[in-house]
Amino acid sequence: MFSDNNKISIRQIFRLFVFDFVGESTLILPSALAGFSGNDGLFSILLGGVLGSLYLCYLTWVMKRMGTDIISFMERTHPLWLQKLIYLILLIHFVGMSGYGAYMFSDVMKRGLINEESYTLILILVLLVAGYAVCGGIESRARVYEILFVVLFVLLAVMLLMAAKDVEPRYLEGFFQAPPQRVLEGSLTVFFCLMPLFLVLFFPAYVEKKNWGKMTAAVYGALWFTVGVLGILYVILLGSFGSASLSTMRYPVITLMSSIHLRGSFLKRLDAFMIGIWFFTLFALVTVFLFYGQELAQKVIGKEGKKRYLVSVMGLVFLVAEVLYFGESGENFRNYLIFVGAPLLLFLPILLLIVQRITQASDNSGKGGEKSEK
Amino acid sequence: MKNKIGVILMTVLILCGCSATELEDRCFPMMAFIDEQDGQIAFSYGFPELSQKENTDMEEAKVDAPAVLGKSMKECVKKNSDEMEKLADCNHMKVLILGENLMQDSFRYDQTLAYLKETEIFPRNTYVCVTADPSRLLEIEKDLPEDLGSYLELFLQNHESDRQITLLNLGRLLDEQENQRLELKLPYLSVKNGTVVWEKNYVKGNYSSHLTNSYRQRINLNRTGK
Repeated sequence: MFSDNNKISIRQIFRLFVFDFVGESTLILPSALAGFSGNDGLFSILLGGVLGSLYLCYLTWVMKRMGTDIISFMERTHPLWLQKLIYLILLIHFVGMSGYGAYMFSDVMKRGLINEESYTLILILVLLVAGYAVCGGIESRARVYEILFVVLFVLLAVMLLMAAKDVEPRYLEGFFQAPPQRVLEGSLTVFFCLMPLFLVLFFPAYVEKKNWGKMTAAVYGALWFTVGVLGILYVILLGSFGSASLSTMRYPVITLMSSIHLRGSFLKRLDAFMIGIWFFTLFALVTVFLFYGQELAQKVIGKEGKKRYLVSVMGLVFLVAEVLYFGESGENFRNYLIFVGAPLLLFLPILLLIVQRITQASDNSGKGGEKSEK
Repeated sequence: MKNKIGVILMTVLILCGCSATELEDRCFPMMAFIDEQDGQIAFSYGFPELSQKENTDMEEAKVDAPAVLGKSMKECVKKNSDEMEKLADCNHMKVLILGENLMQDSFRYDQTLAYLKETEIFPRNTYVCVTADPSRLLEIEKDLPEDLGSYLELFLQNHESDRQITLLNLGRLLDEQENQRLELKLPYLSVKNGTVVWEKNYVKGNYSSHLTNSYRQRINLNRTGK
């Protein structure tokens, strides 16, 4: 019934990217933005969307120059030692991102549903399920998210409508009060959460070349869909909690879901179900980086046996998630993203093109020298 | 590989219940009251009376939860937890009653709310109301058709529209500790002739008596509490 050609549709790409963006951004951004610029955090979201679009525009330009996916491009144009170094750097970053996603996933599950349960046990279970999903390949994950998308986002819309009834209008008074610098800082934070855009450079391997334009349009669509969800959610969170209180909360959106007053015994437990949307979106974030981490690990070592690499990467992700939880260093990881992760993903694509030019130029001069010698 | 992962998943899933507190080792308070008494915090839970439920082992279901006094809310919760045989699972809590003395003692009020915000022991959608003497409300519980928490929840919901206010929940109260933007109006409950009465609203910081004469709602306990 389903084709098994390691290719995914444009609709699946849109939904995959939405899942990758929505989880982390809706969980951590509202409180961070409220702390930066209060109600004006809404402008930070829009500005972050614009920065994300510019970044995607830049990645599209790089992708066209490469003419293929990032891995094939490096294999074709870069010396082996440099390839392995870049794979290793990306692997470290992807393990960190996957670990951060796994840490948030397990933490949300523990705090939101099973507070008495052991964090490590939850984490192991999450990673085993993620490993199982990665074994199915990109197509099976894409199909699962394609189906879940409508169910989860329709229910989210219903819950947000219910939550909108309890919004306190006075909490929404007072825009244009934060200094522009704080709004800009907030927009950079939004932009950092949209950094999975970098993964678009891997996608040419899974999409036919004639569809690359549509693929880019789908990623733009996913980006602005996320910005829209984030904007609506931010307004509702501001109206429900007030900016001062919002800035002190850990996962305000989970708090919002659990405090919506639902009447009727069946609907009463819908809040627990709705937390599920963050389970799926964070799960998507964990698996996507686990998937590419496994590919990169194989490229670094260079031997066959994908599953062996998957298990090794899962082990590293487990360690990162444990350190983040027990070392209470979630904030430090955000600093890593700002000062290391974001610059890496920002400058790496252009560096790859520059290296290709240099290599090409040195090859040409070498050939020119050989010709003149002849 | 997939089969192995499947087996490991199943094993971990089965082991997941090992550390959780069993249902029979939990009790479910429907309300709580917090007040200030002689410079200390007084705290107690209110539990549902299970005698009317079918198939309930009366002795096993009975929960003894005496009121405790402590220097802070944290100490009270700890004392209460030490004295009770079962773990208090507050996820079903309906109403939190704050004593008038506590409302007027801004230091202990702030300290208590800070503790509730930090620990999140009570659900944010718990209704909050104020009374002069919480013990008087507890005294009439035996005459009610159901536990005081469930009774007060229905009582407040049924009369919310008449009073033309939005019932305040604990979440909004905690948020306002940070925001300081709203004038909070809480239902002020009292007991008259064995009846729960919502005569006026308590405005944080002072009394709102302008509604006192315009509205007087009495509940006749003899009419099955409706």
